[in-house]
Amino acid sequence: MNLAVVTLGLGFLVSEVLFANPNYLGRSLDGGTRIGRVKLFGIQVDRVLTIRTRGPQ
Amino acid sequence: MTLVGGLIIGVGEAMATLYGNDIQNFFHQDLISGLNRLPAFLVIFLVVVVRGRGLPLRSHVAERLPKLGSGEISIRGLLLASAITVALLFGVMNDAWAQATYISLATAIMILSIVVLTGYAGQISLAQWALAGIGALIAGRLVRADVPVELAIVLGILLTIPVGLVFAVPALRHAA
Repeated sequence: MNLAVVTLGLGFLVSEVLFANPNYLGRSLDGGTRIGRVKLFGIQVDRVLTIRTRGPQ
Repeated sequence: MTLVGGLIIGVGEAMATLYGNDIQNFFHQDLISGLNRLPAFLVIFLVVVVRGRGLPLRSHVAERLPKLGSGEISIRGLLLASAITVALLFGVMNDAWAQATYISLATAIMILSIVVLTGYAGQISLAQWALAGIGALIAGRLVRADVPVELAIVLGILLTIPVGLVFAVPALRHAA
């Protein structure tokens, strides 16, 4: 139970201070932290970017 | 039941977002913030009111507990499920379905991490999302700095561990 209370408070703090700060994550309207095209072990895994460029199917 | 509940909440949130303007017009409000969060609360409220059986009595702890499995991971089942998932992702699903599946699987991993913590320590952590977000943020920043993705993922995990320790220390120090 102690950990639940501590993590609830710290999680809320991180959410408000870090994740809600556009200086760290970029503006949500701009897509947040854009990392461009990504390959993992040679496999293209940037489906989100693909959707943005081609539009939803 | 959990899956059905999650689907109902997810669909409800999507509907609340889609019809947000209509709901605001219905209540004659210029802006109602947090509409998409409302379905989750409504579902919980209705389930508790309709299905609630009152508060547990002191004898509750003596009741028979649910039967658990052995916890042993079936390698054969794991490989089969992984193969089916990869085949569906790259062979059957279009981009929209694949994106939804990626997000769902990543979310499942984060939620399942609670099981490990509960099983080993008997504690509950409510900051899984924050820790995962910090790791993702670190990895994303590293990728933007031209660090290879594979290395960025490993570094994201390693650099998040100290943050997790910051979360854990206060709980360990307070042993009430």
